[in-house]
Amino acid sequence: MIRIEHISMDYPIGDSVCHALQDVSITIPDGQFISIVGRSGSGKSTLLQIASGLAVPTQGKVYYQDTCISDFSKPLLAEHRSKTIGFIFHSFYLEPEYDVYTNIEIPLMIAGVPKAERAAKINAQLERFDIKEKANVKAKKLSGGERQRVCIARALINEPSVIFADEPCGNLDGENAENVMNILGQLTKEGKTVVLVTHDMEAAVRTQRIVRLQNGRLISDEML
Amino acid sequence: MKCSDLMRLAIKETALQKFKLLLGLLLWISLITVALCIYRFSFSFRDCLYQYLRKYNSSITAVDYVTEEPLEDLKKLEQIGIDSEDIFLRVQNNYHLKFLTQENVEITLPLNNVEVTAITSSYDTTMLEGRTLTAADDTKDGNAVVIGKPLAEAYGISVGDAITASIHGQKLRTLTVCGISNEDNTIIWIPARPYLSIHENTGVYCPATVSLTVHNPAAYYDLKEYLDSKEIMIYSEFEKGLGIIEIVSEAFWLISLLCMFLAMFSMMNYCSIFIAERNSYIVLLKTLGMKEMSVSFLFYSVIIGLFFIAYIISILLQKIVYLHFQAVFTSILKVTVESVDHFAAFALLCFLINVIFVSIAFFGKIGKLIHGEDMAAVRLQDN
Repeated sequence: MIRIEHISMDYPIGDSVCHALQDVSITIPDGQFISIVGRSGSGKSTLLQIASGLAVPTQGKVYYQDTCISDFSKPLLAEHRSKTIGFIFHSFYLEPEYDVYTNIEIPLMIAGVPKAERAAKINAQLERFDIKEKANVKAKKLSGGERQRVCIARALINEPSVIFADEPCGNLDGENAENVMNILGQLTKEGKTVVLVTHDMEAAVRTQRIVRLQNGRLISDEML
Repeated sequence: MKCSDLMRLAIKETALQKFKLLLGLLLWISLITVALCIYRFSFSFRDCLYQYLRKYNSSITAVDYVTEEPLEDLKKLEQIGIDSEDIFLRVQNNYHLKFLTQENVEITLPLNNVEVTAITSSYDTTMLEGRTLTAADDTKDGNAVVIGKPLAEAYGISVGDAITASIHGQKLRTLTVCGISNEDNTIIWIPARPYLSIHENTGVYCPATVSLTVHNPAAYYDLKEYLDSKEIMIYSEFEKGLGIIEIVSEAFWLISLLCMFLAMFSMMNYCSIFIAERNSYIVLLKTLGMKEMSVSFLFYSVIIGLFFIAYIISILLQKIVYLHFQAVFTSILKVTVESVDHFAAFALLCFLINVIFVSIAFFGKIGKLIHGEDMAAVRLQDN
């Protein structure tokens, strides 16, 4: 369970301050498929960063399974991200010159998984997302859909309990976007918590819960 | 994260260097090679030309050295065929050599104001009265001296007057003024041999700078074995040549330093571009949970690894260039190019200074990226 309590986030912009988030509180139970929607600048990406431990809020606390991660030191936060959280980005963030296998292997290296155990885990993900034959292909030679599948495989390789997906379908065509949404839905069924940040309402309505943000404030929170 | 994995990623990262980044590294290699070559060349150049001048230049006109045994030296120099006319002794007094005039007026000269001179063409002062010293005066029993105008005027001394030299109150020799010099100083000029004989039985320490006028370069080499034990200074035409060599060597040295500093800035620039280029990858690694120290280690090892490879290439290139230079100098000037002192120290200095400044650039650049947790996330989103 992720519990976000009275979060505020301010960014200095020159002499003024941008209030990216103002007193936002949400509780996300384990295994929930939740979407955070809002226009550009509404604060949804900032909320994702804070919930995932990438950013520390100006005010408020974030709890993961009743442990306050807002008080974690940087190394502890890094370990928390490595073992608990999987990230899916709309721009994929694959290293273009590395092959698919290495791209998926990086989180395992970071988590300190012994080399002997890695091959089996990576092969399982490659098979699951139907990219086994692309294992030795450089990421830059993959199509958009394939890249996103590699990105999802990389996000899942350490078996995280929470997946943060930031506009995962943003760079994909309709068919590939549909596939990604199906995969995310499947992950929820496997017991993983999936937090989808999107401005696409078609994608949002496929989740179990929609949280709307506007100008850094939570304006609605509805179960579907 | 395991060290072996970090090293694996570092090796992959190194192999990923883009051509435009490698150009920066090549620039650094070129500059450091030039710096090392010029440094080495400057010393070898000086050494070679020095050897060349010593071997072939016939304009050696004076060799100076310091001795504590001027009388012994005079005998030895005569034995090896150096004419007394070629010898010019300059005595530095460390005691008061006093002179008494006929009227028993004591002349106390300031220190170093007894110019003991051989009778050579070097002695070319203009005379107001009387004559200059001649070779005939330079005998053990000679008593002719030349005094300066100020002394003559102050004590009313004329040509033909006698003055008495004394050390520590002990009267040693009566000398006759044979000429009054027009020079505006209080020097008393005495030929070398009579002057030294004044001291012969006193046991007074009498250090001297001996100037040898050598018209035949071969004579210099005849003296070499003897002079090798002395601190030698070579003057006149040869000195001019040496001066030019020294200036050129200094210029080379400055150019090599300049190249080293240019190399340093090029490496700092390279480091900054490298980190900027890998910005999103660094942020991704952090997002995926890599600790700051691991990220720093990963990229620093890449930078230092590349830097070290570049340094080794520079050293090898410098060696190749230098061997060619050595061959050219040996064949053209027929001189031996000896190993250069302090080259290893200079090469090490190049390495260390560059490592330090590259490290400053690296940690400055990556520090901003790594320690700004918020910024990392924002950039990731923005990208």
